Amino acid sequence: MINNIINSWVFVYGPLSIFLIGLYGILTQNNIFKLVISINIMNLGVNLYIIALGYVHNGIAPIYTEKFKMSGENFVDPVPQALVLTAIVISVAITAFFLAVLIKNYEKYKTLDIEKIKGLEND
Amino acid sequence: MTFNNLILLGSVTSFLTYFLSKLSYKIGTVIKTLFIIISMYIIYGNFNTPSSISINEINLNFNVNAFNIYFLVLASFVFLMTSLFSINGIKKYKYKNSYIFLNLLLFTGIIGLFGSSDLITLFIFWELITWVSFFLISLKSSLSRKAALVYIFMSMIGTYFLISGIFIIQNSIGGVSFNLIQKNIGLINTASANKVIIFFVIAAFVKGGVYPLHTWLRNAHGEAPDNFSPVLSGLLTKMGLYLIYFLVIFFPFTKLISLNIASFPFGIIFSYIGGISIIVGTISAILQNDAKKLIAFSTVSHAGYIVLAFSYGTNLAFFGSLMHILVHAFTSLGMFLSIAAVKYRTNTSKMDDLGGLITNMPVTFTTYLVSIISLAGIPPLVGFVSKWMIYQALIVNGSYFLAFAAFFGSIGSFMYVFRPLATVFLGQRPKKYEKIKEVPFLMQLPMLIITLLTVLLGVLPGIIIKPLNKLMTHLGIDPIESSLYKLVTKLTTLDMVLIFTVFGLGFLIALIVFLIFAKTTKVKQHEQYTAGEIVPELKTMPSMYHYSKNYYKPFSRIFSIFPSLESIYNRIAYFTKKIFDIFDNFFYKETVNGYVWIISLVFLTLIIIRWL
Amino acid sequence: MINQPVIIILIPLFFAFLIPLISVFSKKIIKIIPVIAAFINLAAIIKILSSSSRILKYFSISGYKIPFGINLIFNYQIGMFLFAINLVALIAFLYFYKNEFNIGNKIAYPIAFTLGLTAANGMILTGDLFNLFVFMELAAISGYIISSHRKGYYSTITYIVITSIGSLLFLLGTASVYNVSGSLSLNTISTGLQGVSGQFIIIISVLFIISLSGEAELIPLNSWVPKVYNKTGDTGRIFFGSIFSSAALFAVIKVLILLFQGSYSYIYEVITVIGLITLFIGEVVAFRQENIKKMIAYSSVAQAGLIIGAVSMAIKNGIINKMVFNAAIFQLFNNIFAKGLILLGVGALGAYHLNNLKNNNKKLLASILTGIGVLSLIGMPPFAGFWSKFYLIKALVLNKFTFFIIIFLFSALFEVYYYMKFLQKLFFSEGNKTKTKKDISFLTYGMMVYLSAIILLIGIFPNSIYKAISDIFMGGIL
Repeated sequence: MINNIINSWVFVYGPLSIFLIGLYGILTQNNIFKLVISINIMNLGVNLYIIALGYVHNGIAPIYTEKFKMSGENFVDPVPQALVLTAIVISVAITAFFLAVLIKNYEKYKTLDIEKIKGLEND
Repeated sequence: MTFNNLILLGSVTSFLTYFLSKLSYKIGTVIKTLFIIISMYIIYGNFNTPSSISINEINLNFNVNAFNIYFLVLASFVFLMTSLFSINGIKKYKYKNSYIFLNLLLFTGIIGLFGSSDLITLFIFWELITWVSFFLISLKSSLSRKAALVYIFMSMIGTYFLISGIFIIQNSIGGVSFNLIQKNIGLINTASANKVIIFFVIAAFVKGGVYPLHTWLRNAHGEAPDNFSPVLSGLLTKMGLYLIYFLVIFFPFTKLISLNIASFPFGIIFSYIGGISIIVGTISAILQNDAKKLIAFSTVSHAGYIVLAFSYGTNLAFFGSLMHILVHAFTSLGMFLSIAAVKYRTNTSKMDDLGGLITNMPVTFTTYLVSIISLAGIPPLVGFVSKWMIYQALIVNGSYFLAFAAFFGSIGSFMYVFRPLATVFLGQRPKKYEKIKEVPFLMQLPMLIITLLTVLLGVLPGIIIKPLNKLMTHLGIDPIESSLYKLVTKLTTLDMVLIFTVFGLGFLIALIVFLIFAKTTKVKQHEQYTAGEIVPELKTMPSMYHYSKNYYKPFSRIFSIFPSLESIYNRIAYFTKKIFDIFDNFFYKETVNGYVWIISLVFLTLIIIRWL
Repeated sequence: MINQPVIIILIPLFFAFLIPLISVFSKKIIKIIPVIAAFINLAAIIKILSSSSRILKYFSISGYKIPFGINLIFNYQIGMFLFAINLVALIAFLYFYKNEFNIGNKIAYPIAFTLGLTAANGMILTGDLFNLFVFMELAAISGYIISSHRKGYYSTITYIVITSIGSLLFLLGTASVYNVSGSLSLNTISTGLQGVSGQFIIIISVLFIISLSGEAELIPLNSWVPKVYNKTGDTGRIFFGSIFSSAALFAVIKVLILLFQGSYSYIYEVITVIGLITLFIGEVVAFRQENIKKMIAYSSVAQAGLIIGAVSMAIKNGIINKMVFNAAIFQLFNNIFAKGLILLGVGALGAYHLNNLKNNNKKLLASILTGIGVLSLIGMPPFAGFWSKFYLIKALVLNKFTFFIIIFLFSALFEVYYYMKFLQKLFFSEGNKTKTKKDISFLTYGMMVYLSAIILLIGIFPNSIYKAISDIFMGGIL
């Protein structure tokens, strides 16, 4: 029973609260750089959640070799791990591009404050 | 050549005239006129031969039969007159090629509309006419462009109501061709029938310019290019009234044909709306200062006459309204063409700046005079015939308010049509217009034709009554009694030739007396009594003291306390624009954080709604 | 291999990665590579179309059986959508080749455009949920690059933040769905979802709804649309307006229908409401705009709302109402061409602000062709948009969806008004402001004439196109 509580609290609500922290960051921070960091935190939360979803109790790593012919029943689910790898790569690319755009923004407006840029942009 | 090929030929010819007009616009207008004459001939030849354009399982069905031949002939005639006029009349226009092209495309659209034999074809041509006439109105100036936007907005309201009504009909009856509707009219249930009638009538009121939905008429007709205003006023408003005609025959809501499928007393309601439209149109016209806007309001009141007579329910009223369609087309042609002729020579249509053109432009003056006499319904011209029928129908059945409204329309109309006559043609001529000549012959020709027809059909009304009687018999309505020159109704019989002779003799006697005994005194136009005060504007801005300025000021003082519908609509439009700005500011003008707040709130709302 | 639909995705991908290689040798050939890619792709689509059926078929990749690997869906109707999108992409690339190549980095932007084409094709073709995520991210990344084409950096930031949130929510939804149903392929998820608690379904469905509206321009995630349309280049606008939005909308429809298979009516009611709100707000805000680029952006938003609202209105209790659904899909198809033509015309003429349009007597042909696109979008006969609106209203009246019709026609009034005002100013405005736009090249005229011809043809033969594109998801799925 404790296991279940720990499972659900640690593996589900933990990553989701990290996600919510990142969301809080986007909601309230004015500095564009902090927006980048918040998005990264949100990514972290989601990735953790996905990995946690694939956990099988008392499972082992899903590696199949000739020597240790374990059957597939004790494997932790490998598909979420593949999904997370893809998601990490995508988030790296997005962060890199976001930072490049941020630099260009700074060159143009000389400030990283979103309220001030919106005023200058006058759109 | 069959009707469907005529429509296709019309579209192709309009493109050709666009390119040919680049060489010389006269070639374009002449080709347009020839095309209209040829199509009149083809329409006659296609009587009762259905034809259709079938591409890819879309069928546009046309048929010229007793139901719509009258409208087709009228449409061709109006277009022919304006086309003849425009051979010279568009000399000073900026966009001549587009004008000729769009005009011919509009003509094709109108005969397609009137010649269609099922509702979907009607709707396709209805929308085509809407946007082509929008571009035609926009050709002239920035004021006309604003007016055109209001026109298309209100017109699309009508269009959307129309298409919903058409699909309700298709739902209940199973098809939309006129024959099918006539056969299966019993299949529709009363609630749907009421909806269909209301939707069609809203579309008809918007296009026809009847009271609550008429506010676009003033500016659209007033600011449109001068050669196009007669078509707008005389013909495009008839599109809407054609829908009411359709309803009266196929979806009868009155006691005219023995079948009445509506449960609501629509006939009485629409008659009263027509009556109110007459009164409002007349009064608003009296208050106008610009000649074309004045005539636009007279269109409102005449549309009121037609709606009143169609919804009234007796065969005499039905005949009166059909006749009145012709009368209004003629009078609005006459008035608009003469004002366009004046504008062609003097470049202005403001009544305060003109005067005394009767000696320079006698033909124009005669056309205008005859048209306004006919508009006011004074015998022995053709306007009298239709109004007489309508009066008779109203009095015989004892509708006092409506009869009062009809009389008021006639009498009041003389008040407002007299004003352009007095200010433009009579009175003294300003110096700059001394040497103006009459308009060229091709522009005089349509005016002469209209004058002649107005007098002829007034004296010998049987020329029109006999074919209309045949039409009414085809449609299942009892014809009225008629003879070549006698108007016969239940109350009395009028001998039009006798009346014409009496009028003619009276005119001759007055003329002789005038020529022998009359002396004229020249009075300066700006000789005003100023009670000994020195008024410098008499020299600098004499037009301020022109006798026709604020001609009807006491009259307008009476009516200044009534709220004008236009200002109510304008306020509603302003209010909605403010609300739309609120949407814009709320949803789209935030920082990034604001947007994410909106996203999270929507997310939470969606979950909470269903969770609880 | 040539007959598999996967080649439609592979060809632009191959050419996109060819660009950096060729840039080592010569920078001038790069100009023509996107054009070649789109052209070969178009040829491949035509070849595959000729041998395809009208029933939805699943194509597996690399021989993995259906639930275990990535699979694509394809049939004749999807092929027609792909054809339309690749055709507009070819036209956009030709415009880019002629006019906009020299603006900005010469290597990055062609790569971004070609990758964008890959992503759009992928979003339409894929039948697997995670593959859709990957293509959506690819589209988002190329969208980020495209939206910064003419130094629109602040709008790119807005776009990045909003779409990142959307994609994260999508990932959450996908993972949860996988956990419960054990498969990621669209056709087997719904069987796995039966018997799950209602609250879980609510959360998943809301996650999907919110996240998919990001790229597809629906509320609440469409705040980036006016900003990005305003600041990007002409080719970028054509991409966003015609290609990305239509592909993303198609992906949304696909997920809605294949994933939930018509059960859980709450989802469909919510999406109808979202669609109607988007339609209304889009039209009324566009009504107040003076900036033409933003006006077209809001109009694009509203059209997306209309289509998705109509589609979700058509699904009740697991049965697709064919009339409404096919009319909405037909409207989506027509919009690809109409929006492409309008955006091409606006870009070629330089008509960016309502008060700056000088009377274009010399460019009358271009104005008329843009006018044809506008008239088709607002539904005037004899153009294509008239028939799609006609069928849509017919289907809605027949099925008595009164509230939807009222909001739809009310919004359509305003749409007619502001587009007609735009056309008036385009044709007839008299002003003295000079424009600095160069003359329009013959190639651009040719492309505009071609698009107008397609619109006119669809307007004259609507029934064949309607029949050709109807019943996309029939054939054993629903």
